[in-house]
Amino acid sequence: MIRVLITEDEEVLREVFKDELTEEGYDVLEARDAKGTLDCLKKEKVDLLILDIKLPDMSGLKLLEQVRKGYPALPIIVCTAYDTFKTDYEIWAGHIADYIVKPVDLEVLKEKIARIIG
Amino acid sequence: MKEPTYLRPLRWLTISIFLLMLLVYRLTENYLNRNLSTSWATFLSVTFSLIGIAILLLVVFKVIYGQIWKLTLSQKKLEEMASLINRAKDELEEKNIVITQKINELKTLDKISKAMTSTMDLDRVLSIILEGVSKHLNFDRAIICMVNEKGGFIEGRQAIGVAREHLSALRIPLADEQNPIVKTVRDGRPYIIARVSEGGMRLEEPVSSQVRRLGSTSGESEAEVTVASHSEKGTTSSQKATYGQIFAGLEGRANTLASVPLVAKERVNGILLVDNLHSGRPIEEEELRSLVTFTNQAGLAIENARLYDTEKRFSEELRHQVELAEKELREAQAQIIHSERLAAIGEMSVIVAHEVRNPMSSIRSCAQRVHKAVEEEDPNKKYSNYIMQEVDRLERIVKDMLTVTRQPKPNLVEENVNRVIEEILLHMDDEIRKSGAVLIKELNQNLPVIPVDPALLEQVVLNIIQNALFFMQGQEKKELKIATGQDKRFIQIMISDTGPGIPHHNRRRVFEPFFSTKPQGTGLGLAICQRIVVAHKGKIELESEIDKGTIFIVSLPMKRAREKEENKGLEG
Repeated sequence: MIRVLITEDEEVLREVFKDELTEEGYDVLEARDAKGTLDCLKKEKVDLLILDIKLPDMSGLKLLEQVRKGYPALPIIVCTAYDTFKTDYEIWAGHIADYIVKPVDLEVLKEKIARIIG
Repeated sequence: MKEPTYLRPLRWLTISIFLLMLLVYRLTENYLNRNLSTSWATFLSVTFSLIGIAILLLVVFKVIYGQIWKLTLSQKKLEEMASLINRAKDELEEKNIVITQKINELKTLDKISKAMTSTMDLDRVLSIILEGVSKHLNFDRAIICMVNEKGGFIEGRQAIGVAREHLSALRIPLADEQNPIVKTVRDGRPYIIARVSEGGMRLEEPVSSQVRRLGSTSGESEAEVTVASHSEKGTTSSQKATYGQIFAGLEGRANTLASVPLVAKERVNGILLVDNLHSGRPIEEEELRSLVTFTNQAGLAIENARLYDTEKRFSEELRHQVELAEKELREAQAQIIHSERLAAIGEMSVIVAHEVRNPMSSIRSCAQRVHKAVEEEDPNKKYSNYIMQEVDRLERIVKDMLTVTRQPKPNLVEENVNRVIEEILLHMDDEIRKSGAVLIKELNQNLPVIPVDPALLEQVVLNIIQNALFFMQGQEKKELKIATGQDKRFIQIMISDTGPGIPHHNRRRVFEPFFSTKPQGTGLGLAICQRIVVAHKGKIELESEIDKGTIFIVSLPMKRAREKEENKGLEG
């Protein structure tokens, strides 16, 4: 079973994502901040990370760097409320699998995951 | 001293009386000698008495005669004196008349001078001069020509009794040395000019030395004047032209013209031309003399006005420059305030957008899940759909806010504008049909491809069409017209509606961010359009007529113009 880790500080959104992806047949893990994410990655084997770029305890980009260092092969989908990420993506293109801008269309999210896991 | 002739018989009369008395006495003696014996003593006494009487008489006569003679003499002197006095009186009267005339002339001059110096406006000064010439110096026509040293010609400036078109046509090149009017300028002294039969003009006669002296700026020799007066070597075309302009409509009438320079500080600023067109009266020297006295004053007044005018123009130019700089500064300041405001809004919007997008995302995802869970027939399906639609609308607003505060960076590709328009019209087909508007397309099929960002251009067209449709609501005639065209540098997209039109005071404001007259408008649509078009180095304009409608014209540069702009930018 494919294991997806959702790092999102918005509780409602995290829950909806979890429900949707669980229904879709994924094994969904949750983290609400950077620390939780790193802990979870240490404990569990994760196939995909959905990462909110803005987190309460650490900048998402900093976390991204650390994750990238520790787990270079882990595919990451950045979830962001900044639509300027479209231009930033060019910088991150080599480091992340894809990105999605809020408000998220669940169908689009599922498509992206399916394509990456493929 | 010679005795007068009429006294001569008186002398002879006295001698005759004396002889007669002697004869009487002799006769008496003869008679007495015969009758009476009388002594020689008696005879002698009588004789001497008689001689004494005669001498006395003579003396008396002499005295009387002398007195009469003296009297006659003084009377003659008196007569002579009287005639002298009379003559002197006549002369005095004549002089008096001349002096009175001179005083009047001076008074007039003084009056005109005062009037001339009362204003610094050149045209006003010129009209006062002309008025003075025609009213007080009694010339029928007067033209003032100004010397344009820079342009190298003399041109008619103001006139009395000359048609405007003749005046404006009066232009004599300074290079034409043969032209009598040019000569007046060159020599700086007055001339009398006569027309000649072959249709030109010539200097008829040198004006008397007195007049010359008054008019000239320096002592010139008689010889020069003589040369000038005989310099009639045929007529030049310029002369003929000048003749035509000055003597226009005067065919067959003998006419002479006085040409007097308007001098100040040894500089000829202009020429005063006068003549007696209607009366045909030749110009007399006395008149010319008065005229020259007058033009000496006029020349100074013109110079003053000219200097003042130069000064005024200079200060006006200066003021204009200052105003311009001030305006630019104000605009720059407004621009800075505007950009600062936008930057502040931009920062704010980024924060707000992020904060709003998280809950929006939650709402949308939840709604999406509900929507999926609800059965097709369930009326709640409609509501879940509404939730998603409204979130999408919110998202559009957020996006607009972010766009308007950010300088759009068009991703340029070679594209045909018509295709972009067709695409957006296809998307909006439903919306347009629902609005009840009639769509008229007048797309120029020969448009070349130009560098545009199709997505951004679509947004521009969409925003304008949406506005048009909104404002045509409730209008009887609903006509949406989209046309394309091109000129040398730009491709135009014209979008017009038959809405109520934009009030004049709002026309500039419609492109301001957050300015809206729509009840639910954010005031961002046209602001975004403008920013997108400007980012394409194009321009967006509008024409509007109340109760008729509005037309938006988007002009986008074609490739060549764009490259040129960019090159310019690089060079700059």
